[in-house]
Amino acid sequence: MNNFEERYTAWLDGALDENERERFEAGLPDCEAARAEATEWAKLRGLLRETLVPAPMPHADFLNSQVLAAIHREEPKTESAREVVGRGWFSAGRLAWAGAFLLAVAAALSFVLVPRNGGAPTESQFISQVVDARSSDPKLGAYAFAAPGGKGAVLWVTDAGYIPANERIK
Amino acid sequence: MGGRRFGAIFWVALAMLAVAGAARAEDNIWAALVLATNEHPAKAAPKEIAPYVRGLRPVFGFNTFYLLGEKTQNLREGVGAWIVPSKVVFLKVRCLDRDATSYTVQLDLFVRKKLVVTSKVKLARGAPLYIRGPAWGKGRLVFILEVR
Repeated sequence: MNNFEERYTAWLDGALDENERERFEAGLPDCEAARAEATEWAKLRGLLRETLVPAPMPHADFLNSQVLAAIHREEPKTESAREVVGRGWFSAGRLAWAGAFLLAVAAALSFVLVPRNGGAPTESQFISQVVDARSSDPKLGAYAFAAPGGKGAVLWVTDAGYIPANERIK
Repeated sequence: MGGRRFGAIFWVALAMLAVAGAARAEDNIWAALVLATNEHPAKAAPKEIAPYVRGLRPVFGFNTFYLLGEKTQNLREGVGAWIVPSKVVFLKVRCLDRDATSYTVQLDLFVRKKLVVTSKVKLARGAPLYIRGPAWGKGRLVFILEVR
């Protein structure tokens, strides 16, 4: 407390100890006037304390219920704020469009890739078969039969020619 | 957070569909030109054609098989490809149609640039086609075709 205002405020509040109070009062130019002012200040302070005492709340539960109701009313606004934040690239609408697009792509791919005759593959679909064989040369013949094991096929070409052993094949 | 998760699922699903489509489009036809002969004692077939020897022996009546050439060709509908493992005999393969388990192809067998036979064949995956070709010396040339 270096300046006068601080020491004066402490003197008015009675916060100075005995030595400080005597020293401060000795330094006052008009001690009597100061004491009268301190008395007035003490009265005013007492009056304020009596007047500004918080009144007891008659219906505290009612107030609490009102506050809780107000909080509940605020919650939907919080949810809508979340929705606004989530309305970015992956909003519900865009996800729906993305899902529709994905279904369209899957349908297109399945149309291209899935067998058009439909249904589960039959045993014959896992077997190679010679459907047709012909030659423009009437001397040549071609016929087909199943290879041993049942899955493969043989295309048998008769009189397909002769290559001498001294002729390079590769 | 949920939106990002849905987005990730969407893109992963789309990528999987694309990969599935690409994988389905990458079926290949493998063709091998084999020289079948009778030797005493019989010699073991090379590993590339060893799985087919059990089918080749009883059909063609030879005990030894040599691999003269092989080629793997991508199968695409409507696209023709020459399979030329030899200068003397070669095949032209054209994919006509396909379904989930097999390809329908047109085969043209040429011997010394002369068309010997034209055939329409349904080739199932893993079910080989053997074509009896011209004789060579004391042996016989055989084509093996298989969708892989």
